[in-house]
Amino acid sequence: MRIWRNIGKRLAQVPVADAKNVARGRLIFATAFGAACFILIGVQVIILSAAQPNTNHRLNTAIDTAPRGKILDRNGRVLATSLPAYRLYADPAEIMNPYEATLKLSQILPTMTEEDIYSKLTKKGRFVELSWRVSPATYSKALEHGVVGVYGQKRITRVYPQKEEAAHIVGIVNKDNKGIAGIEAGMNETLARGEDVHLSIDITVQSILREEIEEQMAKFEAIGGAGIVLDVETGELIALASLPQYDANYFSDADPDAKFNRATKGVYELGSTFKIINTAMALDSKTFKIGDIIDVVSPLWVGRFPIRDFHKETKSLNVAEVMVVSSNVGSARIADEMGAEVQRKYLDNLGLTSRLALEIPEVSTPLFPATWRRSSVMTIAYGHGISVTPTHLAAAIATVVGDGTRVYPSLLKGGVVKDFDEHVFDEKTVHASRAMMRAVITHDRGTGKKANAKGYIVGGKTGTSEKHKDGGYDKNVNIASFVASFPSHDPRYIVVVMVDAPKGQKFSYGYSTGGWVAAPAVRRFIVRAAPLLNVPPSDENSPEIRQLLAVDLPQLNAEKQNVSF
Amino acid sequence: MLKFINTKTVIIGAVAVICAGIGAYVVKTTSSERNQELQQITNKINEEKNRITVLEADWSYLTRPSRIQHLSREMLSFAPIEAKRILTLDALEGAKGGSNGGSGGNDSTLLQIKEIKGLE
Repeated sequence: MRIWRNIGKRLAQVPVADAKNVARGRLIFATAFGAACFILIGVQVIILSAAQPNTNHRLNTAIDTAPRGKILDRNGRVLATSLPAYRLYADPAEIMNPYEATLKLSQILPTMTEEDIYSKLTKKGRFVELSWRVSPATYSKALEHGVVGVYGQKRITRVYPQKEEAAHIVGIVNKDNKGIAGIEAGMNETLARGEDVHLSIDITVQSILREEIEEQMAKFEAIGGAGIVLDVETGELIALASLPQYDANYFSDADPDAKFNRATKGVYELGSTFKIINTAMALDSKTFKIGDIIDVVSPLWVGRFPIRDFHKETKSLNVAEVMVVSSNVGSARIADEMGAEVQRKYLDNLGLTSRLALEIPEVSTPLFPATWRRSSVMTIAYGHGISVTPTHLAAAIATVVGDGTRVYPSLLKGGVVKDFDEHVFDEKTVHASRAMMRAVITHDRGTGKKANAKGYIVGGKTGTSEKHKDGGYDKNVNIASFVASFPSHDPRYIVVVMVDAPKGQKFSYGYSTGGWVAAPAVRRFIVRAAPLLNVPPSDENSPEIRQLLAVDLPQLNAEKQNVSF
Repeated sequence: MLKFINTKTVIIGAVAVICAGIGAYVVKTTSSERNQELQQITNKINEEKNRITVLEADWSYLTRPSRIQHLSREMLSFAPIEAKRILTLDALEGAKGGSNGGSGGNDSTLLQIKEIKGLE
């Protein structure tokens, strides 16, 4: 109070001229103050507008594009992709009129019955799941219908549009979008980075192979099967089927047996198809020449067990003939002469004793004897006592009939990049093997006549082996297989077909052998798929091809003449 | 102390400040508008990308080899092509040379070509 009184007194004392000055001073002061405020606000505005824009998340209604990479076949067909989806759920407590809501929802969710929806909407509790996966379009419809109490939760789901086809290769992801099987697991890092993975698989070829094996399985009431198409030059797996299959979109519902990959994980004694390898080893190691005579008449014993032939021979045969008629006795004698060391070395070089190297986790290591006894050597000659995956076999045969350098199978487009070629077989061995495989198909006594796809010069070998049971063999349960190369004079593809536990049928005279069960599938496959694989038909009677595939079979041809007279 | 601040300076200053303020305001509003536009375009792009992904998946689903094959069998009575109906370009060239030359030429090739023509 005192201060104010003093100011009043002083003001009264001030002369008029001074008062004017004081007033001007105050005015200037007020203006300057105002201007300062203005500048401050201006500066603030400039700073704010220069600052990073504040992203308004509510504006961002669109779902971010799928982050996980796609899996594509060699022609760019989508095998696995990530799609935006919604989990549709409801809060029954919020639904006033369940009848009306049911009517509206049944239009949106045609897969659900009205009773089903109604019972869900009238449940007690605050949460019922209507569908774990609906498309964004369906979800927006649900919003448009304005059903109170129905909500959607955004999620990214992995979708496999090809369903069963190549499901074993593509694999599966878990709830966190992490690959847990197949390429999804094997190439998880690449896919998680958002990069696409291009497979070597051609889904159309895959489908043809699968269908043909399925047909044979049905005809012979088999429990399973496997098939492989391998590019001889690059090692690319063009098709790799394991049967039965499952729908990758409903993995958890699938039968455990269907989930098992017979082509890469299952190991089997593939029987006589191994004779191709056995013969190639014998020729390449110079143990035998192709025309050398082998005794297949006198019985052969391994300890207490006899080695028997499916068809008892009456005359000695040469090395090529042993393969054409698929003589176990002859093959065992050849291997016995060759010895364990040579056999082991070639098996190692062919990768038949090591874990299958492939881009998926479902692979196996072959089963073979720990100690390489004489008996093992002899049985391995005709594909017993060693269990490999069908993919192992395909790669080994590709090595035999390709250019003699080791073929590494791959599920990725372009195949495995090799630093150097691993030479396994000489050119001479390769040519002899091609010719022998062709004779298996064309000769009257050949076991693979049913694989002869006319025009495509198929070469091949049958295989039939008994399945293991309780530590021994089950005479009534077979693994029937066939391995083919085509065109035989200059192989571009290897085809392996294996049928698990086929039953002999009336039309097959009770047989369930590789020749009866697997070979026809190979023939039908090649006829249908060769145009897709860009393999033109060749004239098997052309002199060049005849010369390339010529092989001397004196005993068999003599027999043939005797028969015809 | 405030001698140098006369009316003129004050007015100029005030005008400058007001202009700066208005300028800043305009810049800010435009930039936020542009931001929204950008956001909308990004959303649209993402939506379109999503639609493309969905359509690709749809396409893959609808062109499943097994489905196409079933349809072609049912509706078009298609069958696998026979080997003898397939010719390489070399074979065609040989046939052409044969007909031009009047003599020679590969008879079997010509026969195959006739067969193919018969198909049409």
